Amino acid sequence: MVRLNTLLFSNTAACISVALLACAGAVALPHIALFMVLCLIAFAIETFGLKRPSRIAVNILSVCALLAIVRTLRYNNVIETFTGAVLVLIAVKMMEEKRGKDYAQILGLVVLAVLSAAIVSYVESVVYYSLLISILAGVEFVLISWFVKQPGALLTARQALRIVGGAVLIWVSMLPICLILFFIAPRTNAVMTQFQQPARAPVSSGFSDQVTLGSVREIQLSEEIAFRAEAPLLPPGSLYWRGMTLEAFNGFAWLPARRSYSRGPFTAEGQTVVQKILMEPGYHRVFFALDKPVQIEGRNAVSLGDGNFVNTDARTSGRLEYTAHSRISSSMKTFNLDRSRNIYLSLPENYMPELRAVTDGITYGRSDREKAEAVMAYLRPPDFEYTLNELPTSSNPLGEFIFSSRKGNCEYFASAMAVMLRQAGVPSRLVAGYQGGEYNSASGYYIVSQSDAHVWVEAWNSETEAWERHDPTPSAVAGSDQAEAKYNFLSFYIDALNYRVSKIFLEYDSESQWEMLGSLRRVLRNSGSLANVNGGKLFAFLGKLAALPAAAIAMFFIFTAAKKIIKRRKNREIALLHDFLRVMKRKGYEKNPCAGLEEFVDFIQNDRGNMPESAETAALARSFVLRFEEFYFRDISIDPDSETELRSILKRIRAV
Amino acid sequence: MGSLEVKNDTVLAVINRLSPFLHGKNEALIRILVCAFSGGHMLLEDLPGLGKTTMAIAASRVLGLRFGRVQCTNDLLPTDVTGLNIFKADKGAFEFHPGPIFNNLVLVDEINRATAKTQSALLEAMGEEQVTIDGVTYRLARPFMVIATQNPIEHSGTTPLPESQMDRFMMRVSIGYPDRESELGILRKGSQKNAIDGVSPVLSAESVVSVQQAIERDIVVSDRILEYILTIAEMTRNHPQIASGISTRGAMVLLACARCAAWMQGRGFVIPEDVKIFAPEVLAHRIQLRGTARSGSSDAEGVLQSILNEVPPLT
Repeated sequence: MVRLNTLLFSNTAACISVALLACAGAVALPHIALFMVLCLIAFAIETFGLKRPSRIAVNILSVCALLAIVRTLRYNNVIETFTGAVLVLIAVKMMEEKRGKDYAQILGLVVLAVLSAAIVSYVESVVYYSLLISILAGVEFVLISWFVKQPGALLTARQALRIVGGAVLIWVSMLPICLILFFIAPRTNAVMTQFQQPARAPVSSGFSDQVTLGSVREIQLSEEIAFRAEAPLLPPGSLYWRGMTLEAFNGFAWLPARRSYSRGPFTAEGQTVVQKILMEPGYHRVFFALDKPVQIEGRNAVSLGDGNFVNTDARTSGRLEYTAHSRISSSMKTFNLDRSRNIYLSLPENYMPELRAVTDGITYGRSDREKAEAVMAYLRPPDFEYTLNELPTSSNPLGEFIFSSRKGNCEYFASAMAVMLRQAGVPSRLVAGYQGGEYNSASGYYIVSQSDAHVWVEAWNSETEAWERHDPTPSAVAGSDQAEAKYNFLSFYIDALNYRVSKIFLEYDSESQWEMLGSLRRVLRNSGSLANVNGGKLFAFLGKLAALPAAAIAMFFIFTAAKKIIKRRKNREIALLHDFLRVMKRKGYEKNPCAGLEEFVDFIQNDRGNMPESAETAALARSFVLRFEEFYFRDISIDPDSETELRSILKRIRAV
Repeated sequence: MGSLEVKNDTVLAVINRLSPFLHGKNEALIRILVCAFSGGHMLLEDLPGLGKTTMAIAASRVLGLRFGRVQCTNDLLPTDVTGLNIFKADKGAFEFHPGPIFNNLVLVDEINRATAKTQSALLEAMGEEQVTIDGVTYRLARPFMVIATQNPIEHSGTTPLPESQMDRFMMRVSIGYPDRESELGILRKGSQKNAIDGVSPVLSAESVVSVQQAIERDIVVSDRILEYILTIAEMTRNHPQIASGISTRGAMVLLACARCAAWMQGRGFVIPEDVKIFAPEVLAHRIQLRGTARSGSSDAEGVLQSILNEVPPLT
């Protein structure tokens, strides 16, 4: 026999303990402690029937608690703080007088807490906690809908079991649909995430195989995000995301060299930075990474040398995720320039003799490095200005840029520098990629947009035998400040959320599914051996899964037992009654819980009265019961003399 | 039928006085006394010829109550029960002739033979303890008790009591066949109706009222007992086999019976056993079972017994 409100309260308590476990990793310790203290108070109020604090007091308390939590709000812990606040709200709600809608609100908050915890700390156990919450929530809803109609309803154990069983059945009947979704959902990621937006073509990663003069502008005008890269915070000057090198120039466009031997292995010195990069959906030909990429771990990634990595499966559009290892350096050493030197010096036949005169004028007789510096100085403002508008597009765009308009964007500056260096006999090439990016410190990643698309120059330095990076574009220096305004406080967090959701749910593809099923299969195959690593892991999860409701139930029973003990100590008659029943039980007479005391004694007398020992016990028990009832059923508290007397009867029963 | 050990002197005297006529009907007598002492009415459901009338007459004699009798037929009018105003030519005015209901103990034989209208007049009188005739309200005698009988087998030409009216009876009791030894005694002695007339009363109408008041006043009822009764009532309301559970009046009546049981056993307070002993008879006709098992009284009592076996009385 159990009261509906008791059942509902304990189910809610179970929900909350699961939420606590799910959030434990995501929420700061003081918040957890605050939550637990409030919960214990709520539990004590409920279990021991203490007086509830007034609503005003509760509201003041919750406002204070929330203020204390909000004070810990930092740039990088919004979700964590939010989860903490939700937990505290749950505890506060638990302290109040609860009606059906309050329970529903608590359940809503619990689900919110688990979901936000899932976003912050993606660990597999959160999935299991969510699973558990979904079962408990089903039970909770069934209980609430009954509770609304009949708060104090009395249920037998069988009825209670039927409710729980029914709710679990509802949950189980949903499983087939969930399984179907489990296998379908991840494969349609692009569509699923954008179903509310008008359909659009997948973003090509901004760059095609070639960079035509004036084409980068179109990329730069786009508002789209190109990719996000999880990486530590780096100085702005080192934020060059290298894509591909372009060696051949035909007067209008830069193309990659046909001959592959032009590129090869290289060494670079500097800090090693590991980046986890998630490209937006699109047809990705090139892998981007911080300058200089040493290694890229991703599906279909092939190194072409000199830090160029291409995607062998560029026909598949979708999100691309990979890990890149880079050395932050502006120069790279290679050893095979002799064979390919001509590639890096070639220009169209008789290309811009007037420019050659200028070049000779500023570079004659200088070293490679000095030549590069001189060209950089030549292209500097105010002589040349940065613009994205009215770019030179005549039959000789570069000539127009250098000699008449003197305004252009990165590919004009870079092309001009590379061409001038080649005229001066310095091997040089263009590098297409991105420069800059917004650092989202909330979750530790860079947001690189298409407007960060950039082209810069690498020039050979024969003294050091290394490619050195030169960026002649004026905006490259000022650009980082400009971009700052693009993201405000809020959009950072929205983006962080978006990013995490993409990472957790969209990257969960068929491969991960098979991995999971495989581990399950392995466990089933040799279920006996727990030594199996994956199997053991799964068993550990299953164990954890079972441990949770067990813990909730144990908590419930501990509190009920504590309640009983306290009640008994408070009430001497009840203590005496329990002692009597215990003595009788030890004698072998257990009272049916539904029988009265006199019935119990009659039963002993009728059933076993023919044995002298039983008859004596029954007689003593009867004298106890008759005396005891005088107090118990008259609501008179027992006086010490009578208590001693009754206890002496108990002693005699024990002695029989 | 649960039995209880009577220790109260008054009740013992009543039983002793009637012992030559009881022939194993002690338990039925005790139930009549419970109804009388707690101000309730009784529905005796039994086959004819099992001593219902004799029982009622004997009880009225020994309690010193005025006895009235209504034999129900389908042409019985409400005024035949309540009485009516008759024009007296010599006085030139109407004079009220009280019906059989203006007695202390009224035996209503075969109540289900009366029309709905007459039943309703009777039951209203039972509820209100007063009748209104031609705009004048007359109070009934105190104590006032109805023992109605009903034949459970015969159905043709009867108007069964509506469920809502059943609630007005404190208990529904069946006497049943006497055991062989008692029946032998009855046969040996023959009809004793005349002998019953010679029984001298133990109580009077006034002392019955004072006993009623004493029980109400002196028997202590702990909140534990009230909780127990309410739990039983709640269980009947949530029970899957029961369509409609016990009303608040039902719970009050159960408490009154428990009080009386405690008093009869010479105890100044109520214990759970007092509640249990009459619970099936007090509650069975107040619940309606779901589905097929609607009519059988034994089924309802069985369900109630199962509920009693599920509610822990000591908390």
